[in-house]
Amino acid sequence: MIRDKLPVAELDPNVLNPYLLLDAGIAPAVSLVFTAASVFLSLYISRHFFQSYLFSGFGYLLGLPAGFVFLAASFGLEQLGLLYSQSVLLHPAFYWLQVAFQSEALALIALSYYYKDSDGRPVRIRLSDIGMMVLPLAMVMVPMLLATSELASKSYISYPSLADLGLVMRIFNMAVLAYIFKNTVVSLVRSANVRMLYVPAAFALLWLEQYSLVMTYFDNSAFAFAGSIVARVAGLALFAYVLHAVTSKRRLEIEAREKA
Amino acid sequence: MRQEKRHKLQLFYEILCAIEEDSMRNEVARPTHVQHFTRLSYDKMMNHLQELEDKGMIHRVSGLVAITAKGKRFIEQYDQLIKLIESAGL
Repeated sequence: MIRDKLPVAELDPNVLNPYLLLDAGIAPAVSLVFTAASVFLSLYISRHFFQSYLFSGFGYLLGLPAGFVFLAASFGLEQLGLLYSQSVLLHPAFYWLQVAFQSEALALIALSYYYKDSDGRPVRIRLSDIGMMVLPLAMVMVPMLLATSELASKSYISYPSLADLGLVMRIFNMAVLAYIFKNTVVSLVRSANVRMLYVPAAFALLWLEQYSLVMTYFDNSAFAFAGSIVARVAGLALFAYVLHAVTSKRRLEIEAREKA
Repeated sequence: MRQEKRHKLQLFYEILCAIEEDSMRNEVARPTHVQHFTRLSYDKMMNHLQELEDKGMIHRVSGLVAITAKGKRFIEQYDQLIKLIESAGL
């Protein structure tokens, strides 16, 4: 009961939601703008890949729309965490869900890249395949088990433990993003197509976001956090731009051909 | 030279492109021309043409083939799919 009346800074020395590092007067507005932009861009990317999946039926494509929907949900949960920053129960709960959703999202996107050569054909299951299938499950299980084991021993979720969990999951995310980056660079080298440089750049920006958040964990720097949200929106915007450019260019070509 | 196995979507795309290209020259396409473009055996190509007709992407009149609006939309969607996959590094 007493904890309900304590200020968040006292409850949250590890700052679960870094928007709290910004000036209290502008934090809600900044958060709303960046969250809305991130959610919109993630859903836009997801829509493109989902349409491609519906058309082709290539199972390996499904990881991308699902991943970007999970990513959009994680940004929404971050916003809810800020809205309920005074709630002892909801603030850590939203953070916990946000961390789980974000890691799950990146693992699903990585699965699409892992299975990209299958082209909808059945694949022979190897040991490494089993590892890749377990990865998204682990991304959900690790944060869930750690937090619930904490709940079993105490009546509330410990803020420092959750912040540490967030750090571990961000390092996981960086490893997963590095894997995706490597894959996209290999494709770029194979195709020798300069236009494809944008996609590795987008994933590099998402990696930078995670790196900046790790820096924020260590020094509670508002500057590092500001860098992370800018890198995130820039990465998503770059990815969305590539998809928009690819699809609209084709439409223009068809319209021009029909006129001719 | 051994040809790489093509996915069914790719086969449909190549057949429809061949029909579209031949139709641009001669208004309607001849199955023998389509066979030449797609490098398929005649039997296999006729099976695929039957399937495409069942799906409403082509129509056949007295042995000649023409592409429908649905077939043209398929070509557009397949092009978009390939460009999307390539640009995403997939």
